[in-house]
Amino acid sequence: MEESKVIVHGFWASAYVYRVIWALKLKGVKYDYIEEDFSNKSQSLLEYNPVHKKVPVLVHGGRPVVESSVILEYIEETWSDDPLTSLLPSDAYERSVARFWIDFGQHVALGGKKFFDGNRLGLVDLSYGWLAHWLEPIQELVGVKVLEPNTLPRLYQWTIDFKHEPVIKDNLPDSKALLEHTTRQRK
Amino acid sequence: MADEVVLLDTFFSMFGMRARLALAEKGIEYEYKEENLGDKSPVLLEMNPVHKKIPVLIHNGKPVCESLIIVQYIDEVWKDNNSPSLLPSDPYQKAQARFWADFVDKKLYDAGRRLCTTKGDELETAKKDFIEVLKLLEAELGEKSYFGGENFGFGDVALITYSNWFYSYETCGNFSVEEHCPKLMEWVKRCMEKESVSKSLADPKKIYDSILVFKKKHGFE
Repeated sequence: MEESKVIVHGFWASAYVYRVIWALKLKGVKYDYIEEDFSNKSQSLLEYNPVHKKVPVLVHGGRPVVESSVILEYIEETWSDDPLTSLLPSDAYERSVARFWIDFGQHVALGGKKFFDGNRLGLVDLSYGWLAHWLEPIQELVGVKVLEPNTLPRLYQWTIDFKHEPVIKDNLPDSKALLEHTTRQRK
Repeated sequence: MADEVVLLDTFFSMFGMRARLALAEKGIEYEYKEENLGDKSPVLLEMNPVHKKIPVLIHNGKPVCESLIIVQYIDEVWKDNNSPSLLPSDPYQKAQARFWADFVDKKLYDAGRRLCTTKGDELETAKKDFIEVLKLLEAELGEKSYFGGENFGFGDVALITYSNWFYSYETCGNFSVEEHCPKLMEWVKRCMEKESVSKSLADPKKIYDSILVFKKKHGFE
């Protein structure tokens, strides 16, 4: 079943979509990408996600999975042969802690570690990916810099390390386009 | 080494009930501690410093927070003790169960809260929203015995704990769930036949009484 076709329905500016893309790339899973236009959603999207009508949607072997946090867990469980690419801890307690932070979405607890689960990227890091890239245009628009080396040093360092990772660096929306998009959205 | 399991909870919380229900399904013995939300215990504040909310499951001194995370944790830790699994083993079925549990929390809680705290047009909107969500859930249930299929599972755990709140929602909103969603009420009755469910849920009238106290205290009359 792992070999069946994988499709991602997404939107180029969505941090939620990127979480899914990063997870698939980290697992080495090949997928087709379909860009959705929100003013004209595809028939497939409406069929696959009739409840929320939103992206991301992961379609695996013709079957849809929706909600980014649900998709991330699905990816982790389906492509689980290689322990080197596991994105959640193997210990049940550590997993419950990771799920708490994925769920929380605002607070940060990095401690002295490079990434949330140690030295490797995991699902918690992907969930906070928006901070590393999507906060920038918002800060620029609002004129307030919250995330700086002197204000939130550990988190700031995390965004540097995060964006340095090849899978992330090579898979980010263009900053200028994102700023334009964010500006338009706020009008 | 014997497991030490403690649950910090309040009797009327539909979230706390999920933890109680999962523990009962898996046959786990635990110590129940009732929290007074107006005067939270030092243990609660220490174990859930981020949200300061119940339920909190404390397993051998280590806290697990958020009801659905607690249920998954219980299912994973005690998976080999000959009790039924709450989550399916197939990743796709698991994703479906997680989706509906997430849907319940995103949509039902908010509509229910508005039903209990608003008046006039806002109340009518809340009622409409609430019934719409239940109808979607009823459609998802379809002809199955449970949301999990043949067996009671994660999706059932997520929703059944709202059922003892139906009386309160119906009274505040002046409507009947049974009238709009008869199949869903059949599912509720089916679940209530399970001992783990009936002993984990609270008395609907007692829940309503606690809502009245809350409404009076916060001026929602």
